[in-house]
Amino acid sequence: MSWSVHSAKPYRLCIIHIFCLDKMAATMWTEIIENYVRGEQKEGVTSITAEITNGQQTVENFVDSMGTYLMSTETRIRAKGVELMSEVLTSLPRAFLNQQQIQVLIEFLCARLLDHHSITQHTLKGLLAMSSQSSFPPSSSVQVMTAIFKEVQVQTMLQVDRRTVYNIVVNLLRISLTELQGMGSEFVLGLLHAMDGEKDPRNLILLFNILPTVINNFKIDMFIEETFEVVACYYPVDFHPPPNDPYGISREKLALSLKTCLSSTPKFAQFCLPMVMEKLSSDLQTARLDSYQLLQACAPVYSQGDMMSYIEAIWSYCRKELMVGASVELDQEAVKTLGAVVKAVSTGIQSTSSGGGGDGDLNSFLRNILTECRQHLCEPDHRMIHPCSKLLVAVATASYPACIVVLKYSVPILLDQFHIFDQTRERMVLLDIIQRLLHSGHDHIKEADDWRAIHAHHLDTVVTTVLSTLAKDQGVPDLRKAGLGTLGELVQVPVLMDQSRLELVGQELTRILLEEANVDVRCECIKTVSCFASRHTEFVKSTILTTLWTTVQKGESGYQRIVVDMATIVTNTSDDLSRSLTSELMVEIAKTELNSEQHLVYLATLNTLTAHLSSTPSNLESLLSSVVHPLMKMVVSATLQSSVEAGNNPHCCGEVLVAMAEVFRTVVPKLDTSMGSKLCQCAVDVFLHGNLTSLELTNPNTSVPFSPLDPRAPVHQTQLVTVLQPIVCSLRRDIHMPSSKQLMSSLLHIAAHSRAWLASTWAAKGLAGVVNKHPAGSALDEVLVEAEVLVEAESLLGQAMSSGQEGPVKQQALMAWVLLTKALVMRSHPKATTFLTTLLRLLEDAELGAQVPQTLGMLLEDMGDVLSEGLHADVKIMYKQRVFLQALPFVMALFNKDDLQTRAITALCHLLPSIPRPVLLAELPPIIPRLVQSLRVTDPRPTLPILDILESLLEETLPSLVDQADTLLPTLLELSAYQASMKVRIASLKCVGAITSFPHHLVYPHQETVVRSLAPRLDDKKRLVRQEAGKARTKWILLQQDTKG
Amino acid sequence: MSGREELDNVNPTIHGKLGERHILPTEEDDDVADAIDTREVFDLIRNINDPEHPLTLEELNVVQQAEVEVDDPGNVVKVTFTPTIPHCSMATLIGLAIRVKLIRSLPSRFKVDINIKPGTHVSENAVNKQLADKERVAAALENNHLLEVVNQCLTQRD
Repeated sequence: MSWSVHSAKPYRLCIIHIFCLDKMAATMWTEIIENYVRGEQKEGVTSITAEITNGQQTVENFVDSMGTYLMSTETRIRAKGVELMSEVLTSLPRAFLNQQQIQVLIEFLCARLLDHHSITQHTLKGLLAMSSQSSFPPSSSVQVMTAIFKEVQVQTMLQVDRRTVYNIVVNLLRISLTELQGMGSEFVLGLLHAMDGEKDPRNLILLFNILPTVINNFKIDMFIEETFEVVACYYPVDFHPPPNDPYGISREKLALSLKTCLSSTPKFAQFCLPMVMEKLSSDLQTARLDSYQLLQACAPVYSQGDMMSYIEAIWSYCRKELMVGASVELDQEAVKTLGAVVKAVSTGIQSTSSGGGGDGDLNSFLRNILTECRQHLCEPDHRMIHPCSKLLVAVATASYPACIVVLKYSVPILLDQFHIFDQTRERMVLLDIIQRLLHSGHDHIKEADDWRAIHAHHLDTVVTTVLSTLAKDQGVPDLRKAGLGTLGELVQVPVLMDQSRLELVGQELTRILLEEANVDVRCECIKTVSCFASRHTEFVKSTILTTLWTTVQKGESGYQRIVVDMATIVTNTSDDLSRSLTSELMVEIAKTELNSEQHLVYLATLNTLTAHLSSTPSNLESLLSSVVHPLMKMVVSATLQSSVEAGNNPHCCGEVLVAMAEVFRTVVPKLDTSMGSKLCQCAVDVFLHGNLTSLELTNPNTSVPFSPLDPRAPVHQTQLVTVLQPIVCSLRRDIHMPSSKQLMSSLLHIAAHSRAWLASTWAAKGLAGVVNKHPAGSALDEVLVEAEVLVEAESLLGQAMSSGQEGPVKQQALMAWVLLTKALVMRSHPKATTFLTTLLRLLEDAELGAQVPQTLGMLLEDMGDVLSEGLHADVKIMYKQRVFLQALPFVMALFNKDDLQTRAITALCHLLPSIPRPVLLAELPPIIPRLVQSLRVTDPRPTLPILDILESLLEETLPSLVDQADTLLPTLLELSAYQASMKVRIASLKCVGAITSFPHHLVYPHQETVVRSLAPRLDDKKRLVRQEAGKARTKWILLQQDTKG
Repeated sequence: MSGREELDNVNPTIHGKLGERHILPTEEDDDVADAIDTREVFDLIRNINDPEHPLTLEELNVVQQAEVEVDDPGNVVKVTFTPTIPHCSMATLIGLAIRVKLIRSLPSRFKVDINIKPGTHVSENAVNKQLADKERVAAALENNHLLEVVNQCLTQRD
């Protein structure tokens, strides 16, 4: 059947025939449709869709009632009719229509494409709606595409309508790729024709995303060049999104998707590579950047032969890029590109010895570049050796054949130069390059023969040459560092390290670790020893590590440093070495005759080792039995002695206990549920119930029972709470805590009443940790009530108590209260608000009020030893916001009381730094005037934190701060001359500098004043202030230049 | 940099850089006055960028700490710089950049002398004269294009 463009009758016949019209329903919508078509009412669509979707009416009825309009002889009315129909179809749910309905509708819509051009856009929308339906019959896709390609002049339409076409293509490619493939070249040509000349970035992104599918799934051999031209005309992308672009399309996004298109098939190579070469010679940095990135993407896809024929050109562009060194980013991209290209052309080449085929090309290329570089490699004092070496390293890293050629050629040259140049600087440059080249070799070169060839006639001397740079009386620390770096690579080369050289290197490294004073050199030496140890573990263990450990045991000066270095070496090397050092350390820690300072050093090192070991779950069991339990046993047995003996025992020293607790805190959070429960049961048995059997101990001293959590226990027992805290507070949240109520209650009493500072602090932290994780319920509530009675009523607010003597007790109570509050607000416990309010009321307290602002900071800070997420604490999101919002009114109220303003400022200083940025920005406007005002107080020293916050805020150019610029600037300039504190001067000068990021029209009027008032600051008596003044002043001076330029 | 293709000195020798100045305890003491010394002045100029290489004047040995003289009480700063090659066309520009940097960062009480190291440049006298002439310096800075080039040299690279 053929359709004539303006005769409407056949459509009607078709529809009537297929949908079996129901005359009754057809009249139902007459009014709505009439209104819509006249352009009066748009709401009709919703009601029609609603009735169709809920089943009251059918699509068939709807189409039928549209009949008169779709048949109208007036183009405008037909257009309106199709528009309404498309809108209704679009708003139907995706799985609403069945195949048959869709087929009929497509038939109709495709026919409409022949109609007047003003109707086309609406028809396309209808087709898009159809292609989005989930039961779209794949067989119809060919029909749709053919109709569109034949009848629609895509590029003459508006952006939105072009987009509709592309979206239809996207949908159809997804649903029916196979069917479309049947269209063959017709589809490809149609699409190319449709998109040819597209300019809108939104559409282009869409097109670039579908093109790789088309290119890879259709036969495009006949139109490779056309396809390429259609895509490549956008290269390199030149697009600047308008300010406030709502579509979020950036140049980078476009460039990326274009890159994917161009690199999607090797067939593009013959056209793409010449184009890239042309762009690489461009003066535009972005064009070169895009070209490098495109080459990196193309190299693995395009054929080896294609890449090979351009490799010389690519090399010369990369070389030029690095030699000029216009930007770091370009340098990096050029180096990456060279690597990618060399890697691509080397695939399949196993060795360079055979001279056949592509290998020969690669070889001659490599020979060429090496000859070019030779001159530069021989001038280590000149600049060009640096870009040269970067290029060579990139080539060497790329593939085995390239690596072997480059290293064989350049390493001997560099070693020769090392002997010719005896200046430190040049030698450092040479060593550095040798190191990087050798490093690139470790991935590729496995054969001993290859290594022998690389070191050629230097085989016997290279190690000693490098060792000579390490001699004590030789050169500067930087040379020794460079020497150690190179040595680190050499020790991994198997052929170089025979027994005698092993010994030589071992001795030298040991000497450096024992004697070297420069921190950087030691650091490098540790890296070298670690490399050494990974290859020759047994040797390093029996020589270097043994010597070091003997020195440590002697306790000579510097042993602290050495033991730390040892820990770094063993953790870098292997778990076995770490375990053996751990057990050595445990032996030392068990010795009570060592002083507490030695204990602290060993425990800190032990902590490093356990941190490393515990990161592997399989090590945890052994850590528990070899570290945690023995340590616990040590401290408990020490407290079983009489208090006199205990006083001399380092295991009873508070600092040692804290250091042990640190070790526990490292291991315990990583325990799984079963290990955790066992440990927890054991700890509660021992410390709460005084049951020593699980530690295999008995109390020899029956007169003093072992019950550390009893408030009446002697101090040296009570302070064991320090080591209990990390165990009960760091476990997973799902581990059940036995006797938890009794535990919390005991901790509460120690926290509030113990006279020992150590015990009360750690008890308070322990309590907070347990409360935070304890399941909600009566046990927890009772403890909280007890706490309120004990702490709030008796100690804090009980004004009746005499103040003088009870001062410390009150502070302890305050601390316990703060930690409890923190535990509660973090988990959003219902009681949290009450606790926090009590704390906030104390802001006005005469005695404790001055300390409350600091404690507000504690509420928000992340603590390392308790209540942190790493220790499995229950932290609800936005808890900081809640605390801040609750505290703010109390703090702001203080500003209204004359004598409490400083306290209010201190509170803000502690609150603001921990508040998340978005909340801060939202809450800031009312606070800012107060902050600015606070800067004008007589002694600005306490406001230092405010200046720091201000500086970071100024850089963000908040509107509320920008408004204050006129008041802020004079205040800051005044502060920059504040003689009593250089820190205030520096901080305010930083702020002055940061203000330059404000909108130009606001700051520019101040330029002259600021530049003039900063001039005297350049003559400040403090150097650091002068530096800052110089920086700020330069920023203000450059301000003027921006507008002129 | 318009002359990218034809650099005066294509492959210059490069030299080491000083580390950051260590902050001494006295420098953090509010009551001690720190005198302006050669290192401080050198720190101001050593990071000026060379107009034609991605390197600083310090790395090219154009300026050296030993070539900076400071007389804090006498209010005099003398800087002698060494162009990388005797016919370096950038010598005036480098001198100008050093002068502008020092004008902006030193207290105004100082008299600043910038000179080319004797015997290191073919038109040494002409350049010295140009750099010492206040009016010619001021006039140069009125030239926006020149000022932009100078500012580029003075902008710290990251």
